[in-house]
Amino acid sequence: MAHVDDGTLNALLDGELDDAEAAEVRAHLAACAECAARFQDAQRFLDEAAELLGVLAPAAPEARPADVRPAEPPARPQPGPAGVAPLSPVAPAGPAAPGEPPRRVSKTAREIAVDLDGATHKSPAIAPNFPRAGEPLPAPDPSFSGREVLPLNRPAYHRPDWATLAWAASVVLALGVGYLANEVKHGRTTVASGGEAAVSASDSVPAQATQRATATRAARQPTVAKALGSLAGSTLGPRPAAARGPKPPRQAVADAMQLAAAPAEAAGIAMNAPAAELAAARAAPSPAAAAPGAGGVLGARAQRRAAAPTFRLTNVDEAAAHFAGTLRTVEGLALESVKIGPGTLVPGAVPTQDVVRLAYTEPSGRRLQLDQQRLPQARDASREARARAVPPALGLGYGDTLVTTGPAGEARVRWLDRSGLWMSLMGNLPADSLRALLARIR
Amino acid sequence: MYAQYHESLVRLLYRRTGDRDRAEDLAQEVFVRALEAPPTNPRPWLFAVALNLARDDGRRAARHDRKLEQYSAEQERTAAPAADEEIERREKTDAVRAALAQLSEKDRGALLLKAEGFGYGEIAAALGLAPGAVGTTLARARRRLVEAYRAEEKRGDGSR
Repeated sequence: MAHVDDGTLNALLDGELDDAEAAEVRAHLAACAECAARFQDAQRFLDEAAELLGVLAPAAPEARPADVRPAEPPARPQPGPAGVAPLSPVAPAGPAAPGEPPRRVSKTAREIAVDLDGATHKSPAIAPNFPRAGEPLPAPDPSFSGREVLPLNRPAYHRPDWATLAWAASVVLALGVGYLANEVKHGRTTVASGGEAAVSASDSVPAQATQRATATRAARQPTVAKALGSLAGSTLGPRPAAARGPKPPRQAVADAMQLAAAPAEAAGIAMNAPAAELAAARAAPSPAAAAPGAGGVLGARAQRRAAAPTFRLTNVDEAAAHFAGTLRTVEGLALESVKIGPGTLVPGAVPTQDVVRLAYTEPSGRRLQLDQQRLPQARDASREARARAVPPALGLGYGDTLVTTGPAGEARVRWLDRSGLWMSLMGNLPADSLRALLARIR
Repeated sequence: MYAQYHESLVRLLYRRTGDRDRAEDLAQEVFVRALEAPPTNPRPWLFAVALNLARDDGRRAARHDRKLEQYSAEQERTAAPAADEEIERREKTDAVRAALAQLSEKDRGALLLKAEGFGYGEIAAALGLAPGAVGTTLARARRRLVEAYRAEEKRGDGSR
């Protein structure tokens, strides 16, 4: 037999040769001093390399529970039928667990020899269906469920059932019809979108606008109630809607308004933010004028909005200075605007700290909003101290990803960045697409 | 899939990057990608993607993040006055990491995958090698790692 190359020697040491091959190599090693010496070298390099890699194993503080590592390699759970071949018992997985001396990854020559005398194990080849770079990816595996992937500490988001969606849609439709009917009745043909913002935009004097908006709302209520009542009666078959039940129509409308206002409020910090901000800015000089005419919930809301501080335009440098230089951006998307505003305007944020908001437009034209906020800083930089410094009210910890979908269909992902930023990405696109964008945040 | 591979992935990425947070971020990203296009043969796929991400991330980190990382590393160092033993261990870790950084992407990948218990067939699949070339790659990678480490140690002793 010709001399044995280093690759084969390593394959022997790693238990990758089958019985016949191994026996042949062993026979040669017994006869050839040169190859035997190289075998010793290969052995030394293997052991030393394994030891060096063991040094790089993660350190103790976040010790993994011992039971995570399989006690015996054959007991290790295996993927599906077309999946990966079982691990060879001669190459146990994983390096040292914390606290233990580094585990040797491979066997010594003596152990190999023992194996050769007894039964030698070998990994069967893996299925050749693994895609190389550039090849199209294989079809999705139906047994794979995405649900298990992200370690959510909070309950996972569940798709609302269609009945609920249909119900919500019909409520919104009823409101719209009522609003239209009212507009027609008053001889106005301009149909504007989105609450006070739109109404005040159509007027020139802000104080009057706010007042009129409130008054119009109040006057509109019975009409809306009627429209809602009739619609609810006619279209909502199977599901006993709240609006149709024992509640008086007026109460139902209040509920419905609340419901309809929710997207508007979310939108106040979201998609039609410019309009809402415009309205708030206009109404600001005359909150007192707005107050008298404003009765009930709507008036209070108008007042609150009028008095609330808003986002102001700024630039990237200033925003970055706000965060001591670590401003996150979405790579590859065109930045539309940079704003700073108080945390009170952003649901889920720390109210006492400012939020920097970057607005983007996706290639498909959908708008995205990346909010970020510096969290209160821990004194030392240890992981534990940082984790403790996270306000519990956020409902988030490092490593969590909180995905929500708003009533208007906008998705929102919230997480904590490892450099101590609270992050929120929001956009009118499916949650999965939004989550995919996280990879592009730098 | 997550439970099965997460720990091993993070360990590999930690060895590769030397930064636990980064390792966990990258592992997360690997799973996000797996979500987008579920692989039929997850193990080599996940680890191949992880190695690629680590490589890209390393390049990017070299460009953008260097100051921040240095800053936090400094803080870590000043935070806990270390015992001699600890210093020695840290020096050894640094030397091993420097040695590993000198290897080619292929050699390093093969070593890291082997350390996670991959067989030759899986290593070949994950790195796009011919199955027969894995033994040779590993032989070279092991030798180079050891030699680079020894050189690093010598350099460290000389500078002290």
